[in-house]
Amino acid sequence: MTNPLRQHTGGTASLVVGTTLENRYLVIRVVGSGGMSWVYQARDMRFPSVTRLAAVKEMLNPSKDEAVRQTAVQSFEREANLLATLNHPAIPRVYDYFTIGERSFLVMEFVNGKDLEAILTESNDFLPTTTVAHWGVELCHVIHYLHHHQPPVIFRDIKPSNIMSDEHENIRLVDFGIAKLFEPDRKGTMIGTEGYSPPEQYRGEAGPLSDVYALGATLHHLLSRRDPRIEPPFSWHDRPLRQINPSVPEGLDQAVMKALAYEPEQRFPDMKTFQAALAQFTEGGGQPIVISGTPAAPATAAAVAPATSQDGIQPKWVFTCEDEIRGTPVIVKGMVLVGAYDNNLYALKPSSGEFIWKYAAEGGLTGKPAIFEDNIIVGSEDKRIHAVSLITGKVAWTYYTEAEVRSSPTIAEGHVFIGSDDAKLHAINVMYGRGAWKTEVDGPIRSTPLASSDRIYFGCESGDCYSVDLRGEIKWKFHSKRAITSSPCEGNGLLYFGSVDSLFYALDIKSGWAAWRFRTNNAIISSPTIAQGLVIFGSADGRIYAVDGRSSKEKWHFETEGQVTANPLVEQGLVYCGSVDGHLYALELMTGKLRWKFLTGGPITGGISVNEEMIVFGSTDHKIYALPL
Amino acid sequence: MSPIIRLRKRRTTKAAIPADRSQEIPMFRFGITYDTGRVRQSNEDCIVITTSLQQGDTASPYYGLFVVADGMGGHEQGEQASQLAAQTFAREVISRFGAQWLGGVSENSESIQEILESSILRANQAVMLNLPGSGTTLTAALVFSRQIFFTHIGDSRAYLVGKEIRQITHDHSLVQRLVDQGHISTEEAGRFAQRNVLLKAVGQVEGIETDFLTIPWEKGSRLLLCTDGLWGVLSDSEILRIAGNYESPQDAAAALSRQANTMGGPDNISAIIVEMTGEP
Repeated sequence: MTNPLRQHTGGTASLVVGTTLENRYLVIRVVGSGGMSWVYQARDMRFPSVTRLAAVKEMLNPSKDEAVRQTAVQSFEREANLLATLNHPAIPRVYDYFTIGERSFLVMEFVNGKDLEAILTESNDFLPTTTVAHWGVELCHVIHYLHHHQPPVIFRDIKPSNIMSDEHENIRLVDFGIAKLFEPDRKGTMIGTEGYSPPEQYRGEAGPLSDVYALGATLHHLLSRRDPRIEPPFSWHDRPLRQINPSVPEGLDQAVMKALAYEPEQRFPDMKTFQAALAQFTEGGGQPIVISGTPAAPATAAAVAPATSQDGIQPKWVFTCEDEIRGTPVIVKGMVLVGAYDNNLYALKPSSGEFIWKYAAEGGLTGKPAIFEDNIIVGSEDKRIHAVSLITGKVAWTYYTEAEVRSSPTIAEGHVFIGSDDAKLHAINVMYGRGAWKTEVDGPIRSTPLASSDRIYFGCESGDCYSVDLRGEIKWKFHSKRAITSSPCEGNGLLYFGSVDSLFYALDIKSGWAAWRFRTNNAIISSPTIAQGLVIFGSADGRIYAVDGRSSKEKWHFETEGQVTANPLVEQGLVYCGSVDGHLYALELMTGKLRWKFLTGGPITGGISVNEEMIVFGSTDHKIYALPL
Repeated sequence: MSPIIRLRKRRTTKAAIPADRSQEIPMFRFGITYDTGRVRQSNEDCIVITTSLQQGDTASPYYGLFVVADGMGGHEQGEQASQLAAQTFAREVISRFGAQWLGGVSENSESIQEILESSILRANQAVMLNLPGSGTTLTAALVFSRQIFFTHIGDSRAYLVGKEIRQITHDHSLVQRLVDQGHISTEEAGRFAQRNVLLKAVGQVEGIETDFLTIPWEKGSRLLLCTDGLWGVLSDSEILRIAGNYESPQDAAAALSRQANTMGGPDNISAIIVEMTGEP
């Protein structure tokens, strides 16, 4: 490398570590970069016998228009001169400045320390309020100095990443927004950082009171650990400081909120008044600070409940079987019907759980039974599909597949559609149990087929999702990377399902193209349900999710303490879902807030049924529960 | 006597689509207006449209991509920015979505949302690199199968116009944020002094966040994409009334533009009206 300045290739840093800029500044390393600017640590070789460090800031202005570039360079030089006149311990000194070609350089005092955003990120807990108040006081002092300088300087970009704490724990302001000179006032956008900027700054009307607001926003972020850039703007009252961080004294909370007043006239009139309000909360500031000692609240958007484990819910009745209940019950024709892993299909009285009859298959029953007229239809691990009379409890017909049946049946157009581990989708005449056709796919089918508008949709363990017509012909096939055990549901012309590859998919139902995908942190086996435009599903990452079906944005998620492989159900504005942690949860549909939870003796992997009076579900603790609604 | 050779009557060739059956093939009719307005010296808006059709062994016979962009920045940068962004975006969508639609195999198996969002990010990089200091809005609709997929940033708008008019996109403007937060009412918003102050746009910062939405296509409704030169001057009900008077999307678009000019034409007026002619 001969020339330390490379040709402009489009927004790359030009200085090479180890080379010397302007025959004077030896570049040691890159310490930071922004869109069109870079900061290096360099050594000033004009002082060869000592190590005098400097920060070299490089700014690129690749505007092709000469006039635009000239204007930017002149503004830069004016600002560098202004900075050179500033004299305050919190402001790094300017040593030098120059322009070479499209790049301008500012050489400043090197600050050895960390910026406040990094300090916040690197700590897991709340920062001590005395420290934050102390920083606030120092910042008020230097900003006051700037406001009263001739000419006055409005900082306009106060935020944690622009403030450093140096090796002596003193506050230093860095990045005077000098890079902003290279972004001339654009029509229609604002200067400053969204989240920390006051409303008037968006109108281009920044003044000293804008810095008061931004400092308030910075302190709010440092005290609450909640980044205002990812929250709706001006929504401070939604995040009350003392609620999030109980160790914040009342007076400090009030001071910060005053600085954050929407109308500038309602804030502190100047930095001196703000400083006085903060000073009492620093160490030795006079006012005793009460720290309540409660640990930091989790900074997630999830709703976690402090409720007691039973929440006072008493089941209407409980029925014990001889093995796990993995499937979903059905409440119909005055009966609760549920298959168990003990090979039996149970019919119970809904009001009392009293046993009416049971039907014994020769293998475990894991799905959700379907009803047609007076028959109940269910698949079994004995490789068969059984149609049983609701009235007598005796078999009406059986249909044989070549492997275990773990899928649930769907009835449409006079046929039962069900998958089997034999990798075929079977279409069976519902009255007589005669096979109409079978479609072979690439893996066992364990999900429940969805019948909609002359098509059948289902996923299989090879990772494929199929659309098949009523003659069994495959219309489209969509491939995900791992098994699709989740049963699809439909809404807005989209087909929704999850995959073991941990993604939740929304496919255009007509063409099979993926419209959007939503990432979770572990496999999705749970089947989704859709209500009020929200798609609700669980993931093995322990969460129950609510995602907007049209925009793919997460509305909320709820953390349980175990994998969520069961299928949620929505009824009257509540989401009901079981978890491997043994609880059945009832959450508010629109917010995800916990209403109540009920603990069983084992993981819940099946689904839920509801009628006007109760919720029925099974658990792997061998019991079927009926809870009052 | 020489034999008279009767010429058989030529049948019409199979290739031509008889006019009365054209409605059966799903396709688009669209109209546009691209008007400088009565106050501005130049037009800083940009419109890009591309539609494709195939018939054969395919479940996806068509798609249409419709883009409007409203540029800003001094020294002609606005015009350049909107065009650069719209072209880059459309090029990316065509090469990723369009290629796959024509039977190309995609290694990445991206969803349509991912294709649209990364295409707009590419447009963002292009503007930041080549026209720093400028920016543009971008509102695009990909009509495919039974859905309309939207990607959007800025304050150009998409509407669905049928028996009623429904605004689909959300403006990323300061005034809209203030309304959302409850600081001002919708009426006050209409009188707000700096209505064109944007919170975000293409070409300003790296890593922009754009809106994505997909809605099912309804037969009989029309899609309207327009810049603020239209919606800033005409109310929703006026747009609905005027557009409803014209059977042809082109006539409707021209009429909207005329009315916007009658109301003063303070800004560039760009609009696309799309209508599905077949069964979705």
